[in-house]
Amino acid sequence: MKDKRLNLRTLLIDGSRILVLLVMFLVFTVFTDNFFGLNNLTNVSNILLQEAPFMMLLGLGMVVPMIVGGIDLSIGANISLSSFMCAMILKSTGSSVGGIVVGLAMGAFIGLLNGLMIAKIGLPPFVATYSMDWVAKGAVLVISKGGQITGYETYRSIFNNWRGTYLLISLVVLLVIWFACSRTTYGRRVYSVGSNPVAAKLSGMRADGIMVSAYVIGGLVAAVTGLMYIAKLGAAEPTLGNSFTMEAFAAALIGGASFTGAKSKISNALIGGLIMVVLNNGLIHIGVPGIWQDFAQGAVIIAAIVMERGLEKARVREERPA
Amino acid sequence: MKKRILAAMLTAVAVSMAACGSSDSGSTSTTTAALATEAAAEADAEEPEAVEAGETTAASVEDASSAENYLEGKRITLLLKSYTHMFWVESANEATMLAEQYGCDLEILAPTVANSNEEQIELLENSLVNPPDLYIIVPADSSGIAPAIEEINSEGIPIINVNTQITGEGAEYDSFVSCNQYDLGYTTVSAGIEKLGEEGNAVIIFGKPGAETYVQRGQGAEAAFAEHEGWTVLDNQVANGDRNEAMTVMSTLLTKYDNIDMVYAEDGEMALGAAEALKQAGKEGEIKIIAQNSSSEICDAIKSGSIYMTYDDAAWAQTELGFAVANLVLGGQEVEDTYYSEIYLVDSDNVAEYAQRYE
Repeated sequence: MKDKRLNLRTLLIDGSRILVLLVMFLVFTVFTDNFFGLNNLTNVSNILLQEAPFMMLLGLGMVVPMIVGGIDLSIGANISLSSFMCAMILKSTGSSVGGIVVGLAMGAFIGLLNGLMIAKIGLPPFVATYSMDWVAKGAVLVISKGGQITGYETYRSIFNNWRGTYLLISLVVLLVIWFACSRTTYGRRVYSVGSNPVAAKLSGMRADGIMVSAYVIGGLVAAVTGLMYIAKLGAAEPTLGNSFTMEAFAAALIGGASFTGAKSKISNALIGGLIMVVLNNGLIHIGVPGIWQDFAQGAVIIAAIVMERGLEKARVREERPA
Repeated sequence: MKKRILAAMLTAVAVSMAACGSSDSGSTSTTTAALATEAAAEADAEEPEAVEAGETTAASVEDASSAENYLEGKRITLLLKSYTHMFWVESANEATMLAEQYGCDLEILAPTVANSNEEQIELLENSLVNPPDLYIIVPADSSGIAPAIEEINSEGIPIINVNTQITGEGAEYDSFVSCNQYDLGYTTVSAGIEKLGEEGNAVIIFGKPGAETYVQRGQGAEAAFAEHEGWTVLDNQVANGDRNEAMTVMSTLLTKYDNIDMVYAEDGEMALGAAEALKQAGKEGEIKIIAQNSSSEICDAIKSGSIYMTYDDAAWAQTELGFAVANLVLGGQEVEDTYYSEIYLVDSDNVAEYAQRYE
């Protein structure tokens, strides 16, 4: 009996964020007219197909470096630069494949530089990625001369002909990275490096290489997000990603990612992304005035971090032998 | 309408040429300005569509433009809100052209993070190491910029404040040049209502809380809606002047309300985001978007019907007027406290001609 209670408690602790998501969903459904109804699926399909894919990938781009004990403050600038490079190729050559390849390569390159600065030179992740944020922001300003690129309809049609494309892409990316991190030797090594990089090195792992690879994956995810954004928006803007770093951070933290390496999971990005978009959308539906929304979102983020700490303590208590 | 645009162009040319000049070019400019005035008067008699907003009108602009060139050889520092927003890109381009015409040395500063007050202050403080002869300043934060303005004041360097008024206590400037933002919001919504009829439902996509320009536009727009009892503002949501945010907000509003007739977007970027949301929801052209600002992309959107109309607060006109007033200030002449530039209606009737600016 005690074991069952314990299991239920552990389940509640582990699944607390799903519970939060369900409660939010329920509240918005009950207290608004059009958030969700069996005869009105427009809003929910909008959330799932048009908004959540982006927020989930933003969260994922942050969670992967967090697993190795790092952080990536250059996500927003990476999105701006890689998507702008993609749009330049689209505009100059008309080749969607060329644009996608160049965009992804740019994202991976920024991730590689971040990883090298952190793993090989030994810069703190905050310093390295914050500096990279400025470099990438500056680079896209120089390249774009402040202008925008529009008019790449063939590329957009790849993403927009079917409404589910964005969700499909983001789920595939999430699944691939989840599989790599939780079902492969590489994944175990990533978590080992995040848990204790020195011990990982002493045990013969190429800890530096694994750390660099985590940032490259984060950079690639940022680039995929950027490539999807410019397809959705119809314009590549040098400031596209300016607010995304904080959103990525918020999605990761709300989803349960932790600053202490190796405690974060890929699922944190999925849950955090969903909570963020449901919250943003629900606040509009429930009638919170626009000027209060930043406040409301900030309050939820603080609550999420406080809850994360509380749950962590509860988990430690549960695991402590009697 | 053609004549109205021609008049605007001629006025622009007049201001530029006068500014360039020696006394010779000054006389040329007087002639060109006279032509512009004539053309404007003729156009106004037929179809008064450009709006002279505010207390100081185009006459003051021509007064300013008829002065001699006191900017030649001077160093001007222009501080903008960002390098990337279409409005400020246009302003920077116009300023570069004007600096060439005036023969002055121009340094353009802007924060890398758009609308960052902290960065603007830092840029101004750094510029004081080698101070210019005059500053033209567009603050991102009306009162927040005050510490840097006070430092410039203490150096005795003249300041022309453009677009967004500096309101910080103790911060002084020589003259304020802008369009009247309240009038812009009011005029845009009034024109939209006039075109769409006396009854309907609207949503407002608000720019950025705390930014004076957006706040005043919003107040003007709300005053215009309040004057028409048949119109209801269903919602007012913030999109921070960002296309992506506006798209997300508009998508959500479309699922919340099924009776929206008009969207008032406080700037062009947000209007384009809202237009994309309508397009993806299959409601392009069905719900009318009225906007502010203009650009080639906005003109294309008006041509295709995805944006209904816009009132352009004309970055080029504000920049031009800013330089003209700067010229007067450096010439030691008296200037007005405030100069208001004109705003221009762009809709399906005149968009083809207006779009020529961007070719």
